[in-house]
Amino acid sequence: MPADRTEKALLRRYHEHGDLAAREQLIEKYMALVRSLARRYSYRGEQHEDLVQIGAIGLIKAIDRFDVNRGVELSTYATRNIIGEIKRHFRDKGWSVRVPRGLQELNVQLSRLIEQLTVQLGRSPTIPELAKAASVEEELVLEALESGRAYNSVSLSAGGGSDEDGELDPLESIGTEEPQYEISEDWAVLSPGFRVLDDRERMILHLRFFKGLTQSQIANQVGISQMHVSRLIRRALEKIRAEVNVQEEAPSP
Amino acid sequence: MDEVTLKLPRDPSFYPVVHLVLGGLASRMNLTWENLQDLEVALDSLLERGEGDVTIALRVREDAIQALVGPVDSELEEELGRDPGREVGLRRILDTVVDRVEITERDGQPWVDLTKRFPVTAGSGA
Repeated sequence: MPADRTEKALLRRYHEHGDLAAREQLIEKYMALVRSLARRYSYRGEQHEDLVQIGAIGLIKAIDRFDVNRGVELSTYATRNIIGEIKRHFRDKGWSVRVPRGLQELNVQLSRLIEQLTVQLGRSPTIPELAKAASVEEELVLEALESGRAYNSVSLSAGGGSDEDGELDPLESIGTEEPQYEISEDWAVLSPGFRVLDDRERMILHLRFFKGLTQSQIANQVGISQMHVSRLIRRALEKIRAEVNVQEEAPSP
Repeated sequence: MDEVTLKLPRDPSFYPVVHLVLGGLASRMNLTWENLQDLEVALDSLLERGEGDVTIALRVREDAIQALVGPVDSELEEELGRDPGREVGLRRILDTVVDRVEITERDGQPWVDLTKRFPVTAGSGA
């Protein structure tokens, strides 16, 4: 069967019969396109993987809203939606993609200080404690934390020189290989939103919202910085919200 | 009891303003970074729930911050009353990150009333 007919068959299976496996197949098929488009925008300072996640939301919306009977190809429609989602992300975060370098560096420094002070104090540090440790005003700490999260802690490692001082950049501490998490069978029956998450995001949400672990406990268990855990939790919740919104908007199959 | 009130459009580009105000209070109250994150997650989950402007009233107590957020959409009340089951829905998120969640009514519309308690440490207090 030609590729486009297979695609249409999958779309019909999903839209007309509610076949979620068909939807999954379409998502998988087009993830390469998402990665390719995300790469185009990575130069703006966002981490490629973050843009892939954002682009994936555009793809899912495209698949859900696509009208099989219109004379448009899904690839065209999906491209427009993926780029639209990425551009919207940049527009929404517009104020933050111009974060001054000083704030970016302070953000990286704060991430390290949060780790150090948590060990020293036996609890999460307060803002005044962070300000004192970084020798800056409390307002600047808040600004750096906020800019860092809105900015998705963008490529701070680019100039951070994690290799130079031998310290592991907290934002990069995961590396390229994903740890193999033990994914319980429960995942399969979790809420629909969970389907849009990767294994690490599911794991972290599970530990936070089902097991009740704190961010610092999760950071210890998973082996990443607390700031990174915080960022992943936010991103995962945003993805679930986006997915739920799409489900609500999509016609009932 | 001190209160800080913010009224802003339900637009994600304004949410950083909420975080900065919340951060300012957290700093003044000696809240930990982790507690501040929890409060931000709680408020973020509510900001989009409704039409028009959203108002956030932050009340500072000796050992807690109370946030009144509203008006919120009518489905929210039903959602909060539901057993969260296996969903990472609003109920589960809020139950995890704050200590008390209630629906209250203001001008005939539902608002969410949150309380996050924190241990009083030396030097804390507004």
